[in-house]
Amino acid sequence: MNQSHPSLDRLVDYTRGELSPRDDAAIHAHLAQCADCTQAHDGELRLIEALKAHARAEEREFPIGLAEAIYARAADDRPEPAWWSRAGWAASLRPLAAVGVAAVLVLALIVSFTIPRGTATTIDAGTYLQNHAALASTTPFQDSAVMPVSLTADEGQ
Amino acid sequence: MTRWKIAAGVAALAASLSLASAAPNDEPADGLVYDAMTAPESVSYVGTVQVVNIRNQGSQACEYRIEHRAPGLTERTYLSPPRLRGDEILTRGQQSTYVDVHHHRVMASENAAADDQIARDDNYILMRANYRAVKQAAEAFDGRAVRDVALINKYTNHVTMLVRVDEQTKLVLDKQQFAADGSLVDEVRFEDVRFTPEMPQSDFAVPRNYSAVAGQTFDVPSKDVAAVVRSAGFPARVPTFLPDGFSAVEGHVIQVKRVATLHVLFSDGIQTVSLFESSGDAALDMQPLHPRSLNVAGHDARYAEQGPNALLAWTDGSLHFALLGDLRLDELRRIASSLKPQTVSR
Repeated sequence: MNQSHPSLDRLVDYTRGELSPRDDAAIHAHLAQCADCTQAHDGELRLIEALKAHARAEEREFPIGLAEAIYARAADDRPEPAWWSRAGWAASLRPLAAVGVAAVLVLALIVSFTIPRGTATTIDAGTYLQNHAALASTTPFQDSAVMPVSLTADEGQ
Repeated sequence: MTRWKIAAGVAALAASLSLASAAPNDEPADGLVYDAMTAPESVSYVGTVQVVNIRNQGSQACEYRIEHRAPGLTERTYLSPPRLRGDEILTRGQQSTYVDVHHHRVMASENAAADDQIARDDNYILMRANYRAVKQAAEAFDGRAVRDVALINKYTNHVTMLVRVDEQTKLVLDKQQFAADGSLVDEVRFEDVRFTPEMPQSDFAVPRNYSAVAGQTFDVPSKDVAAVVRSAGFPARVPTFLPDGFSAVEGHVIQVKRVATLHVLFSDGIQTVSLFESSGDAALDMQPLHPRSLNVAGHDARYAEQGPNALLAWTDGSLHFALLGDLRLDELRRIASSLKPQTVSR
């Protein structure tokens, strides 16, 4: 295929379904024939799954009564400031939030580089079905039209 | 021998058979079969086509509206199943365009093999070598006079295919394919067929507001299968067992995601099976086909059925193999178990 390779940003957008139908179709077709971009795309999917798994592992149920306590604090006209707030610790802790975000990004990079990428090329069985249909099309009473992969894959069962 | 000489020879053979078979029931019907094969090149029609594939793992059916303008312009508009409703396939000679109305895109593909007249004639001769074509009862189908022709396998003496040929136009209005035990496995039948060249050009137009993407291109394979096997770039295996009447008819080495893949087609003139082989780390994704696991020649394998085809895939640790065609699982397993590193000969 003579199409240029999509950028990583566009692959990410494609993965998230954020492209226009035209761009989505173009990248869909490109991936079907480009092993390198398919590897990058698969790597992106693995990364997303890893982050989702990490997020799920970090999820905790709120302690019983926490919501009520928050509402009660919010209803308090003049809440007593926490000792660390009074001491100016809140401002000093803000950089830690940025460190946390950075840590997540570093984790993402580590995951993307440590998970095996492109060790196996995945071939859609529909590709074989199409190639078989193409060669068998000259057999007597066979249909000469080659069905696209999306028609040969059984999504309905 | 040049292409036109082969075509002329086959046509002359078919014509002589037509004259010889202009006789009562149960006479050889090879000429009628040839006329039926080539009817779409001269007959224009519209109608509805129903396709049914019956398999052990499940059955599938689809229905589409068809408009065909001879010699080679065809439009199929799917009516069912629901996920395909409205999708179209436009075929113009070698070129097919799939109109995906659900994703607003058109995908163009090209199959150079579709116009390979030598392959068509070779396959016709192969079918004649392995099957007896026998005229059966004249009857009515879809309100038209048809002649039934049974294609009987010379080795098993079983009817493998039954075609109902329109008496007037020679178009096949119904095609049934049977398993060795006589059970129906595939049927393609017309409904409400009407023969007319009057079809608006707009019916064959591709939507302009859809995005266009390139599909696959299929080249003309080689008839020299032994040379193709030798050129695979890895020590390819070939079957030492094939069902009666089968032989290697065509092959080529294709690039599937940059993986060199040997593809050889075997046929007995009606039934076909493809062998795919590749080296390296190229896993076949069969999940959409809901495969089941089994064992082939001591190796873990996966098996699935899709429409008229069965797919058996496995690896021996160094090469990946897949057999795909309208054969039974036991036949596929026997072919798989017979693969050896030697040269294919026709």
